[in-house]
Amino acid sequence: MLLNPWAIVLLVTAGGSLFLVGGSLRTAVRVLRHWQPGSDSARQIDLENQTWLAALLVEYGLILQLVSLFLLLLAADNFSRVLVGAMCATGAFLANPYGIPALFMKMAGLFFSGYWLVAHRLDLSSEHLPLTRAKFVALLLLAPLVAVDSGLTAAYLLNLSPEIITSCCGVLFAPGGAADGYNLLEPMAAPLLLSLFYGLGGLLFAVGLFLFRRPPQPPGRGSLLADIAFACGQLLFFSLSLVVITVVISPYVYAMPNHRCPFDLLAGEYGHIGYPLYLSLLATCFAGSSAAVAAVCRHLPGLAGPAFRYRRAALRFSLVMLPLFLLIASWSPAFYLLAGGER
Amino acid sequence: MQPMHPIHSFGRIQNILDYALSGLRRKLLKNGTVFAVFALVVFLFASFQLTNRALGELAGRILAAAPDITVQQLQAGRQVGIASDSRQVLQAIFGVRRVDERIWGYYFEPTSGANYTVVGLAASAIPASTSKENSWPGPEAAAIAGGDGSSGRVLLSPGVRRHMGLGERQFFSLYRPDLSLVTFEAVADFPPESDLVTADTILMSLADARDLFAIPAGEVTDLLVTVGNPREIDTIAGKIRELLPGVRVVTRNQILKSYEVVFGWRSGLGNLLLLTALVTFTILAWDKATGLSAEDLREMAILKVLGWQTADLILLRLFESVLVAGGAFAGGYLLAWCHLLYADGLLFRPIFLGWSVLRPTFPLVPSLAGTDLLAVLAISVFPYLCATAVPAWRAAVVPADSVL
Repeated sequence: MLLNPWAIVLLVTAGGSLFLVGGSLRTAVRVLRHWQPGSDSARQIDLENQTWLAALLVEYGLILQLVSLFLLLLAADNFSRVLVGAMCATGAFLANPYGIPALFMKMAGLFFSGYWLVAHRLDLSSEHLPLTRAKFVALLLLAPLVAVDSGLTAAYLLNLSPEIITSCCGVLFAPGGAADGYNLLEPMAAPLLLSLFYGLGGLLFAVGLFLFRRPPQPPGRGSLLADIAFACGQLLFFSLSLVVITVVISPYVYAMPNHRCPFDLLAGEYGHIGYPLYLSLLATCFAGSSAAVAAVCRHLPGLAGPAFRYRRAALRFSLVMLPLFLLIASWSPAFYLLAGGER
Repeated sequence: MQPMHPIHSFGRIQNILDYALSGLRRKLLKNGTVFAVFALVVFLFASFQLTNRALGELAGRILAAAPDITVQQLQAGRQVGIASDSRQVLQAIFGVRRVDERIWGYYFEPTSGANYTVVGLAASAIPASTSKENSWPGPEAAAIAGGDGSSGRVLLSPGVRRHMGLGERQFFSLYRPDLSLVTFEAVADFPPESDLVTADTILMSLADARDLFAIPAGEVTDLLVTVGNPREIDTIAGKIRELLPGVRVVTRNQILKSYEVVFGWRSGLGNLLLLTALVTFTILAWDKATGLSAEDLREMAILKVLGWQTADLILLRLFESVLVAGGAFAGGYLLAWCHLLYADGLLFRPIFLGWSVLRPTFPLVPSLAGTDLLAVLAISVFPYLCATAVPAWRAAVVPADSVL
């Protein structure tokens, strides 16, 4: 289905980000080979100028990647109107084996790109540019990720055919192996999921508050480990939330026990509730986990102040967004249980 | 290395934006050219996207009154008449509300070379639509109802009326296969909104159509099934396939999806062709942005001497690009909107609707969808911003001392 307008938009963005990130690789290699922060040789000055360009290209490329995640979701929703059997984006993503991996790759790319941009901003705030080398090493790791992401997107679009019969989300996400036994998310019971969800959410809020209030000194090894553990907790919470939203929360929003779909939440029929829901989740988990990036960098020359300020701002933001996310997520189920019916 | 200030205070951004605006004003001619060409590119992409959506929505509205399931008999892979008796078999399926018979076919008019689509429905089968906009065949359809027998009254599309040269006259004749004449009375026209599917249609009673095409009694072209619960349509369609061997079962949803596929495919093909325009424009933008005149170089060098840093200069260039791109995007999109609303998508209509002697002439209504905006933005503005990244950097790292 390469001739669908959405497919073309996705391919142009994928090509664009690949071109931009690829274009900066040459500088990355040169920086790794010749970077000497103390030197004022002509080559070093030229290299410093080059890093501006490379960073600019990567910034553009990564922003393009972020936008392409939304484009992919919107495109899948559009494809579902064309594919036989698909009633929403779930069916469109499962129409061939590349859809879901492409989506997950984009989400992974979203976090990595974000961390890179945080590191880049921190790097620029110190006149010693202490992170430049590390930044370009990370770029060498990020570039294959962008390439795989673009490849998966292209493979997904190439193998998408309106004649292939796919399934609807009611079948795919049904709990307890009902329907025809073809389920993506079946084994976990709602009480267990919900206790994990609210338990982890509460724990993250408490730990976040503790980390935020703790005095800046002394930033020892223990505090760094706490920051990293907090970041891992945030990423775990992100994955868990996606499962809980799909299996437990979405049927309450749709007011239909068999309708379990993470994508229909974005639709106008349900008041676009998916946008604030997912954006607040993304904001919570990204801000919370990126605080660890700043924590890792704070011992580098010239970064103590900026890293401290960023970490504090990120934790504060995460602490504001987390209750907001839990409130939005709990709204429909709570309303149903308390009012004894649909809104 | 010069010190850098990544903290984007509001005042600093405001000042850079201010300078970017005054810079655009000073280089009006150069930026005006880029603006005009860019707006044209956005106009082309947006036109396709808007027309695609407008057509899809129109098809959905019109088909809202189409039968849930259409059953046709196939023989050796070709459609043949289906026995009216099959109606009882379908009626017995639990969940089926009604089964109607339909006779339809093409009537070739040799003098004009046009093919009319003649549709014959029993009076009871004509959907009782209440609102004018929703559809096929519209409220006037009741006018042809003259019991289930032959009434001689028909409903025409304005296109067929024009084509036959009927003017205000009501009576016209068509030939049976044995070249004897049948006379019809055109009692009303289809509403123009339904022209996408009724552009070449003549609607008459079942008996009249049977008479015109000389189809033997007990045979019809297809059976139209109305289902009580829309969620059961696919299940019932499956049951029909099992009960009547050798039939083709088409659901309304499938028809809608075919429309989506066709419009999507045509729009995609258009977009693909437009990519060449995009590439050309990107090269132009690159070229315009790269070609730093002596004056530009001097300006950058003076700004550097005045204390502007590389980051500020890159931001300045970015703002210039965003202002040009944003303006051109808004202008181009608005133009595409007006083109669809006031000129009915004149330029791209043939690509979407194909070529025919009787071409549909319905009004297209553009709708503002955030997804369309994002799609057009992604395919036009982002490549432009990417193309100006390298020139922005080149201008920003100009060594001030050597230029001055």
